[in-house]
Amino acid sequence: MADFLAALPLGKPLPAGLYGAQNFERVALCRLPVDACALVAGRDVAAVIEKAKVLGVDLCDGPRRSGGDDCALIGTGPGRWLVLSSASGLAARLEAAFAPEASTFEQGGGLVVLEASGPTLPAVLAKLVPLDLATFADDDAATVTAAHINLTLWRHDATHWRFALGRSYFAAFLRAFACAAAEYGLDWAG
Amino acid sequence: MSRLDKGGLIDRAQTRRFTFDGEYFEGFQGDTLASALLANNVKLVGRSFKYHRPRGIVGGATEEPNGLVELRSGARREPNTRMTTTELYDGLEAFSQNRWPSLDFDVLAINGLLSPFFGAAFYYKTFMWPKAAWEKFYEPAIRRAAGLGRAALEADPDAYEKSNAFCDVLVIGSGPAGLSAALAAGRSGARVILAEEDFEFGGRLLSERTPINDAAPTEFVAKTLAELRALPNVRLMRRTSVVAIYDDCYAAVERVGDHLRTPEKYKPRQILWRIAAKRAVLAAGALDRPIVFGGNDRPGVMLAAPVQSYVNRFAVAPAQRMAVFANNDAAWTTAFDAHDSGAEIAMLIDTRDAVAPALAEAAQKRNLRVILGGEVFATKGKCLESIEIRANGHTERLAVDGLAMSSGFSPNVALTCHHGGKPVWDESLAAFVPGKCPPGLHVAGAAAGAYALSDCLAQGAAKGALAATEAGFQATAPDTPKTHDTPRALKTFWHVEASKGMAFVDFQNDVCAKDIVLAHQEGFVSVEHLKRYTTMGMATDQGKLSNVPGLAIMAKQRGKTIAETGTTMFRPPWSPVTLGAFAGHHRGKDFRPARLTPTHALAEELGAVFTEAGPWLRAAYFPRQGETDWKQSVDREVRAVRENVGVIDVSTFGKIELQGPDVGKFLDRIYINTFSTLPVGKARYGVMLREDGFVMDDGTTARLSEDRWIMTTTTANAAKVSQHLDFCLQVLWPDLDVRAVSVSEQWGQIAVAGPRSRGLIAQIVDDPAAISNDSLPYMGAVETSVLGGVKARIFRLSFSGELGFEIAVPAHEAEQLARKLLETGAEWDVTFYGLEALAVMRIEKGHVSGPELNGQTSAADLGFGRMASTKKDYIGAVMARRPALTDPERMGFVGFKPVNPKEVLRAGAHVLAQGAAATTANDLGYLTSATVSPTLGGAIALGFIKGGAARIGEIVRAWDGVRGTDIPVEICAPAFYDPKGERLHG
Repeated sequence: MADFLAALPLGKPLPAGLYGAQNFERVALCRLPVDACALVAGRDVAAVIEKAKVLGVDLCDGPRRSGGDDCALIGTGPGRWLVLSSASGLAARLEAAFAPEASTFEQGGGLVVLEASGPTLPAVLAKLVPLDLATFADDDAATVTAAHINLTLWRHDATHWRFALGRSYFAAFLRAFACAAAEYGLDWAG
Repeated sequence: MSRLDKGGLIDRAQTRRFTFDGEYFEGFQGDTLASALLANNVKLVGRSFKYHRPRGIVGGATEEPNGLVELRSGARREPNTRMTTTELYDGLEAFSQNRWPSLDFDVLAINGLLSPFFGAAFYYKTFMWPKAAWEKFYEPAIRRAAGLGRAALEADPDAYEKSNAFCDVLVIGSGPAGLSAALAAGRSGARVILAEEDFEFGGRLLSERTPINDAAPTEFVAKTLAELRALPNVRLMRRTSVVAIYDDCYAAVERVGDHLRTPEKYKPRQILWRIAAKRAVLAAGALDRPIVFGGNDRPGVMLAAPVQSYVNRFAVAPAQRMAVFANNDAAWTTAFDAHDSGAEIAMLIDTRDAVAPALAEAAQKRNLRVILGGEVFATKGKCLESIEIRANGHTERLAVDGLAMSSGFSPNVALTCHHGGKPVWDESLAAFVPGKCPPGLHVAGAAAGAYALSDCLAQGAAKGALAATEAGFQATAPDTPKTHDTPRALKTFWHVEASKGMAFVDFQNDVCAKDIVLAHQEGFVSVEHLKRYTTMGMATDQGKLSNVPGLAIMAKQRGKTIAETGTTMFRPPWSPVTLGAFAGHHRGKDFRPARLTPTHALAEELGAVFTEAGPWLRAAYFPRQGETDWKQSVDREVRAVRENVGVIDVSTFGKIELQGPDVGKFLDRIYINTFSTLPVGKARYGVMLREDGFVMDDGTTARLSEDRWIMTTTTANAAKVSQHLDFCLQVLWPDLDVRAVSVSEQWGQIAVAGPRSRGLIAQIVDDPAAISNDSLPYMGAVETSVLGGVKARIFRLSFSGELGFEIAVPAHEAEQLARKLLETGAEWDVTFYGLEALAVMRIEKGHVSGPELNGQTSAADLGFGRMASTKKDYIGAVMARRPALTDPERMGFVGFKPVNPKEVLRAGAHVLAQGAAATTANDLGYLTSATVSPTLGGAIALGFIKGGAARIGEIVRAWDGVRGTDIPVEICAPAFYDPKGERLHG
């Protein structure tokens, strides 16, 4: 545990601000306002992928992000996707598009999505995630444990990574992330 | 000063000041604590573990058994730190350990005089009577007398981290083999990590003088490092010990800040690396070994190879006048290097009768006195003053203050054993060499028994190329540089049997040759028994020096070869690892991630006292002004729920949503009772079993629509049940069309309970008619909205036994809901209650929970036998019908109350018949949950008893051996409160 965390309560997410070393190599972290659902296919996954094509999404049944910011589908398991959207009414849209071949489960109330960037981010993530992230291409995703916290992460683009995690673990994840980033510095936007 | 005038890899321009036992000394940048002390003529550095004998530095690296100190002070005090691996820094503080009152005069050195009585297993044989004195007197006294350093009493102020690294080829060690391996692999484009335990790359090349390509070996090191640094695919990690090989990774400790007075701000002191490597090359070199002879532990007696290192790398002559005692050529090179550096070599004693002519000539050229066929059989002095030599029937005493000894080298095979591989004895080398290695691990150079420099360079290159090729790269071994090899001949020799004085095998644990002989005499002849009987190899050096000589002595006792005698195995870690490195970020408040309920902030505002429930931080109770202990608060909260209305956050329960046409059928197979018949808008209590027939979990599942269901699980089993359902769907019944997703995070759930709960909820629900008794009867479920449009699911459930509702809203709305209940409920005198009050009420009501769902209870044990359907199959059904699980004498779930209502019961007490002795044979059962009920005015408990409910009315005893109570109790039905459930339906 880093010194600067000792005085901060466990029961609240870290306030926005700079943590750790103050230099130009610091990592930036912010929270994204998105709605979220889980989409789970029935026995016919192929039918779900076909339906996605109608929406213009080349849906991948694997650990990758499909679609764009208005509706990103991230594979979290066979026939399972975490769906994120910056627009509202996501559940209804998914229900209309994919039922009955797939079911929609609302997750927007319990999920936090974060975005991180910065030159030292790979070194920070190496402290948190037991995966070879250097081999990840854009849109590659993984559902994994970081500092004992379950999350789904994906490479958004060459410089940005995103994480989706349960709301109840949000404060704890911030502490772990700040600690991992301490030697480079963290700019937490809140 | 023993510092040589020139040479070495130290930076004489950078002085480092340090203290040892409070005395100031100076060394240079590039020194270790050991080399700096030797340079300052400090020979006595510690006291031995058992006999408190004076000890000096014997080794040069991780193998050091004697030079252990407490490093730093205060909260950063670190005991048992090896001087030989401690990089000197300005302001270093070191203290000798295991001595009193001082290192020079240690009272317990008297133990040495008693050593004839302190043989192996002395303690076990001697301190047997009276039995009770062992724990109370003998063991504490022995622990005080025999020991190592003191750990810091304060919390460690430094940070530790864990990190992950991935590579195609991991090279362990950066001597000639390691550098060549890294170069071969690196040039192929493979991702390479070169890990070096030392603070400088180069391994033995830093300590030897054999030219490579006609230049100093350090030039080869510099040139190779320059090329490696220029390769973007190569990562160089010095101060990094690879300590273990596990199934899927190598574990390494990087000492980021150990060479500094305090770590840099925001930087960790150490990092525990998890390195996933497709292939690895172990090039960890070999360690010189001691000879077992009388007085071989005296300060000034050192291993020969480290002496060479002190001379060549650190420019230190470890003694003013030195002798060499060995059975091999390599030690002669040490003598030559020391002599050539200006140190006085008084005599070279070799146990062999003859050596190669070139070797003899080299000694003669230097005018060194050589004795062949000789033995050192005794030494004298607190620190070495003289040695006694026997050769050709004559004895001689020689005044020296240093003796370099060597019985040959032991390849560093420890890591090769971490997957169960056993080292193989090589008689020609007189050493164990790697046997079956962990998958993907190649061994090169001295670690494989190839000691010659040219062999190390060639093998390293070949194994590096092979590893890269196996990892999918096109690699070729680079040309081997030009070098010539120093002689390495050896004739096996371990022990001067006709020694005078104690001849040590294991320096750190004070195990002597006579202890091994004793172990043999007493039948402890297996190497594993030998180790435990004598403690040989069980100290922090893990027998790096003692293992082979000890086995050799045992082999001789048994009349067998070392190969026939065998060896003990090497377990992780290769070298000691700080506990902080294992913990990393996860200590103190961050020991594990704290999981927060949606209403955590509100609970804090209300002054809640929190408790850990698994990873969750839950409000235990909400103390109010004037309440002096937790029970007052809890009793008030219970009364409020029983008499009025209370609110609690129950979001921690697991919640799994199931959709699809086959959910009913699926649940019938999961639960012991039938769910497919459950009408829409209703909830049902269910029990699910493991495959072995024992209860896994319980909870309610509601049907929200024809093909949409919501299951709740206990907090503790939320993840396990979710995993179980996924397994069933993916593996057992992929034909079922069921889509199940954990929605535990999505839904915040607030329970409102008490006779006035409906009235309170009516204030926040958008359609009050939705919660009327007709619309929402007991065990009903409805989807509606609250707070003017917030989507909600309301369940008519109760864990407290009162009229109760659970309102689920999206988690980010739950705090708002709770605040509204608080605000609206003010006029109702609403009470927020915590986990403790909930626990009290569920005991009063006789509901089972975690203590009863303990993995050892069947549905029948818990009183749910009649719930189990006989018309369908379900997981665990067959195994639950095993005779052992249907035995009427099994322990069944009951309640207990004390005969004297003033007595207090405690969970964990065992149930005994009246008059029965407290023995296992008489054990009838146990109490699982207990409380003093504010509602009933006395103690009550739940638990299990043989025969179960059939014994209701009997008087037995709750015997608690831990707390010393023995209380007569009456067996009763578990539902103490409202047994007919009338209040639930209120």
